[in-house]
Amino acid sequence: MNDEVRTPAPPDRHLLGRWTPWIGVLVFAALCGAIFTASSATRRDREPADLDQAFVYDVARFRVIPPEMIGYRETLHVETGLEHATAVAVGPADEIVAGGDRRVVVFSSEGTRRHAVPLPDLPLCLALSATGDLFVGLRSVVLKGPLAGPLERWLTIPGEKARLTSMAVDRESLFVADAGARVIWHFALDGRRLGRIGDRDPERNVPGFVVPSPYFDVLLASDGLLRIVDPGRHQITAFTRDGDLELSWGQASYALEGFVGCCNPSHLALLPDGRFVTSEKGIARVKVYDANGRFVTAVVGPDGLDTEAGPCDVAVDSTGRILVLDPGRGLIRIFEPKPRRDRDD
Amino acid sequence: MRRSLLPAVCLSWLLAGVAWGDERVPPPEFESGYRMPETTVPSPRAFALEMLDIGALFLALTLATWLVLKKRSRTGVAWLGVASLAYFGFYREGCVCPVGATQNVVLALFDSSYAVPIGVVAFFVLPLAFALFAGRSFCSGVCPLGAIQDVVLLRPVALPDWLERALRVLAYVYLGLAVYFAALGAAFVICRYDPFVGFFRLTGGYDMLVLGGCLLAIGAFVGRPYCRFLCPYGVLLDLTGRLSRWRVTVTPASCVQCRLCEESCPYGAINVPSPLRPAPERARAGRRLVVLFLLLPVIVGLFAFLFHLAGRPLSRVHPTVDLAICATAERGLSDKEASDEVQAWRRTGETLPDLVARGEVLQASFLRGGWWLGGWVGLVVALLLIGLATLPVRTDYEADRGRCLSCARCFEYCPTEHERRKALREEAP
Amino acid sequence: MTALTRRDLLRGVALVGVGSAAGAAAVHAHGDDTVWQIDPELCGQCGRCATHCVHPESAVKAVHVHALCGHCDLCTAFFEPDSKLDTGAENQLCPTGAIRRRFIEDPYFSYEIDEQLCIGCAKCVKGCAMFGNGSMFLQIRHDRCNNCNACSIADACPAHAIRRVPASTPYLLKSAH
Repeated sequence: MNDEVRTPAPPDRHLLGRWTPWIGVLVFAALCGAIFTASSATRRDREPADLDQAFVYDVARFRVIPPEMIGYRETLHVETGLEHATAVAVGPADEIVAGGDRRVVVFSSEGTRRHAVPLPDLPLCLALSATGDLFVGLRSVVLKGPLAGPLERWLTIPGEKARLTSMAVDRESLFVADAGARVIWHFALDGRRLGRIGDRDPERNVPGFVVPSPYFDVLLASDGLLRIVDPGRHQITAFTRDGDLELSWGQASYALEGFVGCCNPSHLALLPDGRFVTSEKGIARVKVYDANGRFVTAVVGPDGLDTEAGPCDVAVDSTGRILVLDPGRGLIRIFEPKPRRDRDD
Repeated sequence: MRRSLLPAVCLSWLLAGVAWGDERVPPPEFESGYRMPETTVPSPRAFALEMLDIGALFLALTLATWLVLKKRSRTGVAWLGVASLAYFGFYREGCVCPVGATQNVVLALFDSSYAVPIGVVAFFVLPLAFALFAGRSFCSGVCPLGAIQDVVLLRPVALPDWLERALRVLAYVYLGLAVYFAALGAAFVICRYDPFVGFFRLTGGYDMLVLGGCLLAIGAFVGRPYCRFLCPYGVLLDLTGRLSRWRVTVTPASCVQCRLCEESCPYGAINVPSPLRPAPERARAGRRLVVLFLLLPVIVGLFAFLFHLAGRPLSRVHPTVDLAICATAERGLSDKEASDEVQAWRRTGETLPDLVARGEVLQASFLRGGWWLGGWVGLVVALLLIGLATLPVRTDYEADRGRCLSCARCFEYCPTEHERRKALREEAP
Repeated sequence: MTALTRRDLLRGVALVGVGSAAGAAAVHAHGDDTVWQIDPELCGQCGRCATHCVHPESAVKAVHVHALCGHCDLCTAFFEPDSKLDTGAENQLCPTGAIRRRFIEDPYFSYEIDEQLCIGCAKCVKGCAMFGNGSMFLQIRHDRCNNCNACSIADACPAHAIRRVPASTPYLLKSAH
């Protein structure tokens, strides 16, 4: 080993090495600083969707209803205790009946819980006859029994696509709306099938219902005609029991007077004075129309309803109170007309 | 372990989403004979092509090993690097790579519900296996991240030894953090902060492109800064490379101590012979070493405690912990005012206490993991200090087993190598 | 020289270590690769899919499952809210005009997405989900996706709707029933 070859020695690292720990400490401190700074930023500050306004779907301007256009106010709400509430109806003595989960829950007209009737499956629609019989529509089966229960399987809707959405009953007949077949089935109260209403028939000038989603409502009006929602055409149609189309009204519009979106209204109810209550989905709003289809007033708008949870079923009792099922909160919310003085303000 | 909660949570989200979304009526029967078009489903990249990637990796590793150890050809390694840059870099757009695959393997070890694709395991194992036998062949001409830095290297400058050693600690810390976040299921930080993948894809986040550009600019003077001071997989290759069966030797025969190769390595991986130290200095170094060895547990403990404390802010990287914190902060806000994330979470129907409980379980594991991460960092720092205090005993110029990137540059500086080549040329005709 | 050195021993240990780590990881491995996909039931249509993909043209596109579609005349995924019902560009919801509307028969229309034009902004998805059946939704298109190890949209997704799925079932399409 030759010393001459080994010199000059490489730089002495120990001299400089004295600073190494301090540099290490500095680097570590910087690292800690960076971690704390990064972690104190909230998610909102990070990574927003950086899209031009043209790419943003915005219907906020249609969600606003001027207060003077709302002629009703909420006077009571009833907790149904249902996780997945689907339907509301009113009994002959103004009992409040709510369907959901696997049961029907009955309340007094003041909202006191009376009892619950268990069901084999999720109820999709309810109807109550003047004599107090309760009809519950499941996907393709109608159950029948007294309001106090128990219910029994009463009839099965034919067809594999059956999907019940609404029922209407009077002294003689039960009408069942089937969104799968896009028709109203007509049954006698002894269970015989009497016919189907609304099949496309150019000769009778019946265009056929457009039902893109499982919202298809039917009711019996005091003039003896059926009122059936044709949601795809944004219309309320009037049919005779024999299936003749008499008249129709309603038009598509984002404005308050019309029915919003692709297919609305989702639900329909009848006030004692012959006016109609409609409920829309998408931009959730409940409104009142007169017997000829002229807009009267709004009951509640999107700001008052939980729209994420789906459309709101509506019902009306004998005193004219409007019952709105708010499925997101599991409530039945009861609206009454504002006192006249309020409306003038 | 804690991650096994995830599938159950996903399921509950799914069920919550199904409530209304699932209800549909059948489509109309069209009288005009219209048939609804099927939704097209273009297939992902074929499995056979994934296997081709593994084959390409194996081939490139074999070729690199042969070029470095047998052929001793810088030109060959350089061209192989360009080819790898083209295939693994620009054609495969940087994914999958062994550097990132480390995280998949770690996640698979810690989370039994995560199924790591077998191809990813192969990408993780192959370069390490080669390193155990032949050194860092992967770094020489296979890794696209290394290749892109290699091609921009213009005028290498040597860093002071202490700075080089200190900077190398960063890579160990980065590896620790990457394992920490991958094991806890928080994020794949190596991929998220990959500085060069944006160049491979010819697009990317502005910040990462700037960072990559800076690294490449530095890389014109400081050879391969990412590989030497940041690459977490490089740490594993360094450790396995130290055990390699065969190694890169500057000289093909015996060193003549001509010092020509001294400046040849742009990566500071050539160890030079140590000077003779006077006895008092050796004694001082010995004492310093004893002190450092005694300090080692203290340093490890200190860092472990510091990183344990850092576990709380670090846990924000986990999306669930972050969500729990945001949801708590935005408790009073309406859906319209709340952030997108909190809005989305509210739709799932989970209650805030449930979410916070999930977040706290995760945060606790971040705090626990902080001890290990800190212990690792402390160990690395302590070993750095010990390394600086150790007086090396070396007589020849030799490539460091761990740090040598097998780039084959030094061969051409060795007169003995020139002798060998001359002999080969004379043999040939 | 043939004697076993310390390095040989350590190498053996390291080989066993790397091998067993890989083996342990491979215990949960499946031969199949995995790919990223959006769960449409979780997607909140925030728009990040259009902006956060590593590709300048996002690999996320809107897809349409026609069997779920109401085939409405007044399609809220096609028409700008409260616009006139003619197909003029100013009435179309899609900023890039990527949705094609065709008359089928009274009263039904079909809507098809032109993937070349779609940027994955989810504007139509939102319109469809708000009023309609949700038959339009976002999916990662695997002919465009790079299958990054860490998906940058998944990192940014506020609903955590993007997850890895087996490459053999690479789509999460909504089904009719």
